[in-house]
Amino acid sequence: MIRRVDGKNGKKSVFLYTLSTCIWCKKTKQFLIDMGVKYDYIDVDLIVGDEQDKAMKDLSKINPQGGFPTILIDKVKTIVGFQPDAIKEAL
Amino acid sequence: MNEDINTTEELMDYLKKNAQEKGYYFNKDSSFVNELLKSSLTNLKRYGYASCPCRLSTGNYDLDSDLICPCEYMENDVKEYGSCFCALYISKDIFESGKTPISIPERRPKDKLFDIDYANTSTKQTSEKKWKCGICGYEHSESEPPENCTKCGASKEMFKEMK
Repeated sequence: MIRRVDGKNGKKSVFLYTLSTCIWCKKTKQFLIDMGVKYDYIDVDLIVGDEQDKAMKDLSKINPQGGFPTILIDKVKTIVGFQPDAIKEAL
Repeated sequence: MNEDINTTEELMDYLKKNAQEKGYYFNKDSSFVNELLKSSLTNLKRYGYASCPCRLSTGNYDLDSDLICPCEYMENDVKEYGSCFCALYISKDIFESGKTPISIPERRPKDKLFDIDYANTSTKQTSEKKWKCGICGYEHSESEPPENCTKCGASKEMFKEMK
């Protein structure tokens, strides 16, 4: 299930593949909240079956090396891991 | 072995004992470590084993056994990057210098990360190349060089293909 976190800063679309348990995912979400950035995310460990398979398949297309969090900005730019500077630059 | 563990303190004791025996170093940031252990405990309750909280487990022990903390990739990651994937374990250097560990690339093989069907449909998986950072000499095995060098932060353009 895709969830949305609202923010004032919503010029570019931000989508996160995350795990509810992953520390770098939590840090990335908090960083976006602190920046006031609107984002959508999916906690892949909290979904099952076909829904999880589809999420992982979509993730493998944008990040073949794998890893959470994977951040997709404006549907083109991919950032992997907790990379505050790279996120700032891409936004 | 994990059946007696019910709290983060018990998990911590278990991992610390193991770390002491093997000479591993724990991250010194106790709130960071606590947050990680809470998540490891979530996995322990969810799957029956404390698999890496920063990676996706399947719930099938055979498929996830490489991820049980400390995971199979920890030693190599600590050696190469100074910390494991979650930064629970850190190198002696980082421990002593007090530097903050950072988020590192995934070392786990792709066929374990993704269902093999996904890997086959992925467009980039076929041609793995070797790239070398022109600034610090960091080597990267992928079809493309990284956006920024993992080691020194140099931009993608600084990477040269190694033949």
